[in-house]
Amino acid sequence: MANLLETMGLDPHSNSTTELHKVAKDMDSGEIMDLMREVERLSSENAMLRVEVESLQVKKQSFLEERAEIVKLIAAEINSPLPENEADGLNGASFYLFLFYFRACSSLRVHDAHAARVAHAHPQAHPARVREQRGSREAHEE
Amino acid sequence: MSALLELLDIDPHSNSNAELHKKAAELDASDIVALVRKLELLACENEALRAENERLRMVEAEFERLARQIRLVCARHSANRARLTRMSKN
Repeated sequence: MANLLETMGLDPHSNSTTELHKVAKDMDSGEIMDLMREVERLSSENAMLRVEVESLQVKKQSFLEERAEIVKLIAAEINSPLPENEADGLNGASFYLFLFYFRACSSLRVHDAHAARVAHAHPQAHPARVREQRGSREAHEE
Repeated sequence: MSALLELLDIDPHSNSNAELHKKAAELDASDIVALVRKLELLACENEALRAENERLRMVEAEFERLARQIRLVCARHSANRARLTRMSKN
């Protein structure tokens, strides 16, 4: 509840309209002026906060777009053809990049079906798959 | 200015104290109750907006932190790629 209302003994949530009317009738012009000034102050603050929220939301939107761009770049990097002996190092690096991407998703607390789709489409980025590839290559060399 | 104050023809910025006192004395109980309700509504709304601002600022900070880390990893990745390409040529 607003501080001013508390000091005036007013609580719009628990006081009934009749009770509020009774208190309002007993108010002097000084108290009413305090109410007016407080309404004005809170209105200005409200407008300012709305502008701030709006600008932060615009920023968040641009971050999301940037994130989508990063995902595309990572996907392109993972899909780029590599000579056989480069595979291990690059798969490791790609997986590392993916880790950051997933942490970005969770920090936003956004259910991102797109992330799951990208991960599914590029299973070679998963360390188990990297280990499996390495194992089969070593077995082949032996 | 608040729409309610505008409706009541009250402007705390341009009206003098004497004018405001006069207008305040003319308000009936319903107007005052409306002011009380408006005040409470604004206080709740402002609290919610402050919480939303804080949440968005945390998201912003987290994004900036991740962007720094991604840039770092990308730089490392590029260096690795160049090194591996050199190795494969040799």
